[in-house]
Amino acid sequence: MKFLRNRLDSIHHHFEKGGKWEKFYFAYEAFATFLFVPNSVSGEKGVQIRDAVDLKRLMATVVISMVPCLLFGIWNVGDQHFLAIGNSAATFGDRILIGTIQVLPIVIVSYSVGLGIEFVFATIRRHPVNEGFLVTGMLIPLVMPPDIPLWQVAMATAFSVVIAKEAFGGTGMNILNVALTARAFLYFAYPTDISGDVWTYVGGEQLVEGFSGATPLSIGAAAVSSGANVVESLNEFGAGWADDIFSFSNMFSVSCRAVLEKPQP
Amino acid sequence: MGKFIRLKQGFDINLAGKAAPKVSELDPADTFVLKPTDFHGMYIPKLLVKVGDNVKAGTPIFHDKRYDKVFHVAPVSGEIVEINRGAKRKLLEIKILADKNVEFVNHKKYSVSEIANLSVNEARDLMLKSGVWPNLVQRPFGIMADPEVRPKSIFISAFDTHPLAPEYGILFKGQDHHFQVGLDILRKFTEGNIHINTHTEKEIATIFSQAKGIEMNKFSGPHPSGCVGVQIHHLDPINKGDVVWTINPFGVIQIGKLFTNGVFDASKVVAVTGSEVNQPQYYKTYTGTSVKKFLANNLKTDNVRVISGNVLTGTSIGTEGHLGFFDHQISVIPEGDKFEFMGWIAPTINKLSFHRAFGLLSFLTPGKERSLNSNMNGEPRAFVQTGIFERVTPMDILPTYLLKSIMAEDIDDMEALGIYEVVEEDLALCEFVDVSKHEVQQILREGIQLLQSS
Repeated sequence: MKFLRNRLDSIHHHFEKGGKWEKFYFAYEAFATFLFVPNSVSGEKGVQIRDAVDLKRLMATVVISMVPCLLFGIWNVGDQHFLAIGNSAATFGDRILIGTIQVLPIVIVSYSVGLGIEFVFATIRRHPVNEGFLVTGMLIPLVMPPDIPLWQVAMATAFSVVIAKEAFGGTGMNILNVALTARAFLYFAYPTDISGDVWTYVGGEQLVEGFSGATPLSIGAAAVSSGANVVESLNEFGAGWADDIFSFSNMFSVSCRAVLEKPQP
Repeated sequence: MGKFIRLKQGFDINLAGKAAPKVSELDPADTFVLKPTDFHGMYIPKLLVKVGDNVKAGTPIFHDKRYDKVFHVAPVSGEIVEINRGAKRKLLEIKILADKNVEFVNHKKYSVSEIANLSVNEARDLMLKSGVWPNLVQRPFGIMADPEVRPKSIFISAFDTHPLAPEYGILFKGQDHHFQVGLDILRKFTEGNIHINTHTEKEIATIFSQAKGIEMNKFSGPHPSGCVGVQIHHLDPINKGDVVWTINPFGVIQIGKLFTNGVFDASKVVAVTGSEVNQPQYYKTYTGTSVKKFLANNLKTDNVRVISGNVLTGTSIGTEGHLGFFDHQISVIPEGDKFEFMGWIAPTINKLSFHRAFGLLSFLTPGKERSLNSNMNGEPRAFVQTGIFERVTPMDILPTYLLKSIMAEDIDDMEALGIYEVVEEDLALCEFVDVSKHEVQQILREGIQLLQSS
């Protein structure tokens, strides 16, 4: 740590006004403040002590809260994949592996393209790099289908950061949500890659002969037309109530149960 | 009957170094200063003395060019030794080398029955020329009261909820009579009420509980319930065109002493507090005193920040500095000019936070007395909509939007969003909790100045 600090101190003067890398001050600052919270103190007048929170910590908290979501997404990509090709023998590890191979490149592309543009704009506009993209860069993979081409992710990220954020003046002045702009861009520019059967990653494998998933609503409709008992057919399907009306599964996971206990194709 | 108002939003900052309930007397300080910058809304201060002049306690030192009858006077007798000016010859401070014994400028004394029959004009004239008038602060804007305007009502906050705030019961002990006389004088200036606001969980000093002819209101809740702006907002909100006055109990006592003793008495008790002070306690002194003697052999470390006032609204003055006109407290905290490796994500229990973010564990020990330093704990950033300002502002205003409208210099929006109701101290907590490290109080004052000059 001492070593890092000394290194930073020894190159600091290059980035100050008049130094040879003066232009890249804010890029340098972003790295330096990532490593060390700066030694700046509060002003002469006004509040003399400050809350321990800062924007980095706030954004990092949001990113950390999104990690479970990302992990579930990774598992789900693998799970859906093996369901679609009819391989129910795949282990949990296989599912995670397939999911990781599909999802991680999207995350990496989204972060590197977006942060690259942020750094370029911070250097040109001479303002500090804002941490807001840490969250956006995670949200973009979360709203993308698993087999989206990576060049489309890069384009969508670039478009949304430039048009939805920087064109309005940067963080805090954008009127559009950056992550959703990326999604909307793809929806209109490459509709075939983001709608239809893109949400299940097949990966060139042979699909099962057919798979379908009825919703509880259509089961109900079918039951009515065939004259069967609606409640019984729903129970058979697994969308009914559990035994105890106030049980945990009734209160929180009825819809999950309906999905998870759906008969496998 | 007074009202009872329960406030929920807010945050009590619990710092180490609370003053022990003991009042000591040191040798009086050598130098005293008067800072025109303590008075908001001062147009151009016009000096009435020059270096080398001898002054008595109560001799006029300067007045605002706009109010040439309102004198700001010397707190002690002595010789003017220094007049400091800043950029563009702005008057910063007038330094007085104090005599051993304080000599006073003598004014007329009034008996209790004379005070009862005193006319407003006579009272006002004496208050203006004697130097007690600048104690009166006018809302909106938090500037010195205009002598020509009659206020709707007058508000006195009888408790202070700022971090390490001094107890009013100790500051104003034994001043009951002067306080009552001061109230009797002030009542002549308004048709409305004089509101004295107390806290349900704090001890009410006798000067307040014995006071007559006032409206006593009760508040509960964390800081900023002690800020008089918050109290006004709940008791009698200020609309456009209204004027109310606020005054610290010290000012009321000073007015009382002026009429009963005929002198401008600037003696006050101040609390020396903070985690870096060896013996935090109260001292007797005068307005504008040098803080040097209070801190001699009384500091734990050298790298400290000395603040005139409290840590939320005070001014950093350095170890050789002088106390501000309105301050009753000196806070000494560690200077935070250190780097911290990965400090933006490392878990911490020592640093205080109002937020619930990753690694901020101070909420586990809410009662703990903390020693906080002056580090910014982050870098300035653009506004991010966190909704946190509203959770520390117990008023029906939206600080985020108000601050944005001030930055955009949009006067219509500022008025609609309630800028008339707030001054710096009411939004000081917003500055503390701000994720983006804005200087909220400075932004607010700029907005107020814009509004005044428009």
